[in-house]
Amino acid sequence: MIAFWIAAAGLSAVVAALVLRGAAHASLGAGDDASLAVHRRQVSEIDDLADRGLLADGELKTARAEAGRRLIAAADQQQAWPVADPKTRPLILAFAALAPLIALGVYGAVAAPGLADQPYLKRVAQWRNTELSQLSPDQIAAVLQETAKAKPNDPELFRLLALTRLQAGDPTGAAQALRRAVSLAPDRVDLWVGLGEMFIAEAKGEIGADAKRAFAEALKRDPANVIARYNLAKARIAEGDLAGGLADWRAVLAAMPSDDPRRAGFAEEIVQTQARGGLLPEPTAPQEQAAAPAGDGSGVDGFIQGMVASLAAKLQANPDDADGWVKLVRAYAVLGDTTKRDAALAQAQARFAGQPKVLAALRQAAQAPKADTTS
Amino acid sequence: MITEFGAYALILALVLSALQMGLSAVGGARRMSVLTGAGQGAALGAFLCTGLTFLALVHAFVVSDFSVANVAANSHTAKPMLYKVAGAWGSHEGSMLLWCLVLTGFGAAMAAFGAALPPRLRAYAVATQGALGVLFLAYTVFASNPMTRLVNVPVEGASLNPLLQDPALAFHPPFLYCGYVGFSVVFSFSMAALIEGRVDAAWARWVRPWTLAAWSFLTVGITLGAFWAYYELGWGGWWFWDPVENASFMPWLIGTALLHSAVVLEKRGALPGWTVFLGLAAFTFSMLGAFLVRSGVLTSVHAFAVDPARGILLLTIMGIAAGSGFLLFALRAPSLNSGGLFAPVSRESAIVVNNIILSTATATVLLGTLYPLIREAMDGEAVSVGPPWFNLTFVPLMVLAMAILPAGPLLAWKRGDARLVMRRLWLALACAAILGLVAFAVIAPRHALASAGLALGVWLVAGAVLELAERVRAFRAPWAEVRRRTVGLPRGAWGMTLAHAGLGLFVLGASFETTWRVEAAQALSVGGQLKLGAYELALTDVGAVEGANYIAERGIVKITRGGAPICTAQPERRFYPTGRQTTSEVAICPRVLDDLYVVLGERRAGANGQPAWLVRAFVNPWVRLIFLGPLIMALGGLISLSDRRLRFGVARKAETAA
Amino acid sequence: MKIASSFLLPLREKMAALGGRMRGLSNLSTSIVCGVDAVRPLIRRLRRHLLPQGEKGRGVLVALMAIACMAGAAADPAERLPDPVQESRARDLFREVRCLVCQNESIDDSQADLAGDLRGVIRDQVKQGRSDRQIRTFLVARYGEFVLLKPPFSPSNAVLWATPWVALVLGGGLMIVLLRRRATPGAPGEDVEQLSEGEEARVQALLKDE
Repeated sequence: MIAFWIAAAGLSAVVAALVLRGAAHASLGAGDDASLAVHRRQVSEIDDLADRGLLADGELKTARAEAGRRLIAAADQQQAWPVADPKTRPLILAFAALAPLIALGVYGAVAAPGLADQPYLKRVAQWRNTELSQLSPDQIAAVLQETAKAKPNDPELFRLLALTRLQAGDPTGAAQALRRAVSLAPDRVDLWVGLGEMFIAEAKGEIGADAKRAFAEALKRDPANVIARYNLAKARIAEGDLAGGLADWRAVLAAMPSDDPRRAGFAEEIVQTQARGGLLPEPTAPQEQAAAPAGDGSGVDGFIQGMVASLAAKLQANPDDADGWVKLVRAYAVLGDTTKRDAALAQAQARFAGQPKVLAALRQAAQAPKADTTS
Repeated sequence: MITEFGAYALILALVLSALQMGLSAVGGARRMSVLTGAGQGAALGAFLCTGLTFLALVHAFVVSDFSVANVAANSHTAKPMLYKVAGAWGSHEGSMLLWCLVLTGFGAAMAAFGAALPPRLRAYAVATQGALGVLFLAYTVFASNPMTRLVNVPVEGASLNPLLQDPALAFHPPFLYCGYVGFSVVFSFSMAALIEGRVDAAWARWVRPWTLAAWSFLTVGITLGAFWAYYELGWGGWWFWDPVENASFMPWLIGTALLHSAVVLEKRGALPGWTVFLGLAAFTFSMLGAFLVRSGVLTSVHAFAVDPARGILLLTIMGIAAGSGFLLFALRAPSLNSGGLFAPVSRESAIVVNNIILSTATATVLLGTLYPLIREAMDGEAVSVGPPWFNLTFVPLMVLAMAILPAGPLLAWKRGDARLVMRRLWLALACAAILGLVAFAVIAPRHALASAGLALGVWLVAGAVLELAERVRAFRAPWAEVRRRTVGLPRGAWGMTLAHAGLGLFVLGASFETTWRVEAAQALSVGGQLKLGAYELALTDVGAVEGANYIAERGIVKITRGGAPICTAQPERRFYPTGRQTTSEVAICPRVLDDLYVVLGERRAGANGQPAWLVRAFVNPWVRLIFLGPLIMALGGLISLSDRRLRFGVARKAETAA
Repeated sequence: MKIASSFLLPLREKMAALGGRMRGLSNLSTSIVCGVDAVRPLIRRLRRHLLPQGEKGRGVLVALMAIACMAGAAADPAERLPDPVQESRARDLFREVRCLVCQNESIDDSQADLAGDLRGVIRDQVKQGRSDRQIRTFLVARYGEFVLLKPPFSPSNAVLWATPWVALVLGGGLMIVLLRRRATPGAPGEDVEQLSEGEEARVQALLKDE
């Protein structure tokens, strides 16, 4: 804070000095001589070019005549520039002093006086010294990330980073960190398994090729790994091989130690899956839904939904806005909401029945292709 | 502390600009040198303060201080340092601050280096520059403050659009703005001359270096922008007649016209009103550009700092500045002395024709840019005006201008001899005609227009060379005399020749590239091959790479020609997680004049279950000239700028002795 | 940095998935924001945007659209017509047709889904042997004049097409008139071409004056 005032005062003094110095130096009035100088130089340049033979003779004469006449005209227009008037000096001083004061006043009104800088590294250092429970996941992730820069070869650190990033709603960053961890310690089974689970979480429960590959890598190193085997078997069921998958599951269950707390739930899942003839519906992954990052597509989706809703409300209040209806119909069409689209279309067509241009626009809007918003 | 200091300095700059305007104007009107001197001091102070604000903002970007709203919205800790710094001018607020920095910088330069100017002209010019500073700094402080702080500081920033994370684009705005805003000096000089009611040869000489500097910067800036579009947008185009491109091109066209008309004014004292008009128009178009780019009234591929609300403010500022300028012009123009006479065939006439064509071309670009808005306002019909329209209107106009260009410098002032000029240019004409015919008959039998473009390029380059040869009497005078003349040739002449030749090179490159471009695209699996003209491309591998703030697929494409290896291209397809954006990083294998341009497309399922990538490749022949030509033009401008005759305060004795 | 090769696949798939999703979004957003935007007079549009609501979302959308409309794909072999003459005709047409959901691109350049659809439509029509004119008429009937990058020669576009040439002719005419008028000799008695003795003396004096 004090540093700010010192710096501000210093700058104010420097600019005041610049203004005063300008005023002091200016007393050497130059007059319109400058204009004469240019015209003089023009004449002498023409002479110079002629000396070097770069100007044809005829051209030389006329050019010289014109430049000469301009010189004479400029000399005739000369006006004296009076010498400095010392009475104005106090005025300048007053302005130089007033300028910083005005600036300070405006500054107080539009800026945030006294607010300290918050460089990223300084904040990270602060978080590092803060009780963990008081930090948000993204703050912890930031601390871990800075630590990881200092220790780029510690797989455990990257695993933790991945977990906190996932917690903070950044699955892509999490996968990136875990991939790094795996490349640092390719022999660690838990990392491969974690990566597989991460892919499943990202795909909202679906066990894709990448997840299977990660689990296969885990099994290569630990053929008895329960989670890997469980998930690969689940993938089998998902792909239609119910009997094979269930058999695998039973083998996994049999191999689990008798005091494993997961046994009961797992056994129940096997029974129910068999009864149902397929996989149980997935419970939605909680943290993914809870913390979608602001710049992410879902934010845009929400924004658009909100915009469409407000447009619909506006049209109910003011239904004569043809543009608005076209916009609404197109929006529903693009969103793939065919019921609402057709309702809006019918309503609008009835209202604008006598206006072929609007009707055409409406029809066209209704045919807008649906966007594949998979989010 | 540093950020807040910057915020204070910005406001102080605004107050000082007001002081600069008031003191200089009153001092000029009353002939009080103490006041004008103080006004110059204020101009220096305003520049100092804006510069410190700019540094403070750069500092906030460098240390990723997300408590600054602008940093939080446009930066990210994972971003490479260059783009953290460049982020300072990558946003609406930051770019306006850069604009103000350049504006006050030119004001300070006028104050510091204007000692050889008549005090009154200088005072009015500094006052006008101060007034512009007040307008734009007030806008920056109150409507677009880059130092605004956030109460809830986010953990991470939102990052900069990855398309903008590119070296060419990091340096493109500073050059562009030095050009745009450089014309503010010309604007201020024009206002000062109109207030004084005196526009003469001396005035032209004072204005010309500023015009040259601004024009050269703008040329480089536009070229960098086109180069960026060429390799970043990924389909090899370099000019799209996009509103944002047009916005930078219009001041350039007017600036070019101004450069030429200022020469006439300087040499002959003719065209004073017209030259002043162009001086006002150049900066008006710069402001129009600033408005078009930021307001979002027109859709553009380059729009990145769009904010319609503030667009209205910018429009108002432009209205105030340009309105007062043209009002003053309307009042004063009739009383301006019309200067020297000239015959219909003379260098002056050639330059007038150049000016008519360039102004028409500017009006054409303006019309094409704004026409969609005009049509909408008139009958509500939405229309598009795209490249095909510009190709049919702007291009013929320029062809016309370029057809007479080589003759211009060979014509004598006041009264020229057309037959003599043609006698001197027959060689260039013959070269152009022969090459054009050869191109038409042999290289590409069907492309009449491209052959004509080729002929035109040759005509320009050969014309420039012959003009130089004529000046030094090459092949006609003894060697010693030629040498003497060559050494004695003013730099301005060299600059002009270079600029004209550069234009010719550009025309050559543009006609070659657009016509004889070879394109190939195919979905390739690893090991797949693609034939591109005389080249063979093989996709040997696709790997994953991880950059500082992106992950990417990188294809390894081996390029051979008749079995001989040419180079290995490594195009990338990048994914930026922070902004969730995908960009394609083009791989360019530069040949001497051509580029082999390889783009890695989306991954798709290929034959027999193998993954495949859509690889698109181009041979862009002579594309180097498209970017080299304008750079040579800018170099010509800089060489002219270094001409002794344009430097102030150099003793005449020293000059003649040299 | 090179990553364990077995993870190439997931990375690619994810990127492809994200790419697809973003394209979808941009279609959605442009049809709501841009498409309508394009048919609003300047002032109305500006005023509308003064409402606080739109601002932030628009920034995101603009960013999304920028990428979605990236990189030309007209050369995609999967889309090409077998007949090279027809294909080159189609390509010429593409350059004159605007990608409706993009910022400012022809469908020849754009990779947006809608541009792809439009290319398909045009290629079909070319294959059916319809003339360029017929295809343009069809496009205008379906999407309005907005779809053509080269506005048609029509009375309503007369201003657009004529202005450059009218301006050029006017400028040239003005020059000729002014040159004629100014060609009248200056003040009588003054030799325009050369300095008189008195003048020469004055010039010499002024030059020495320095």
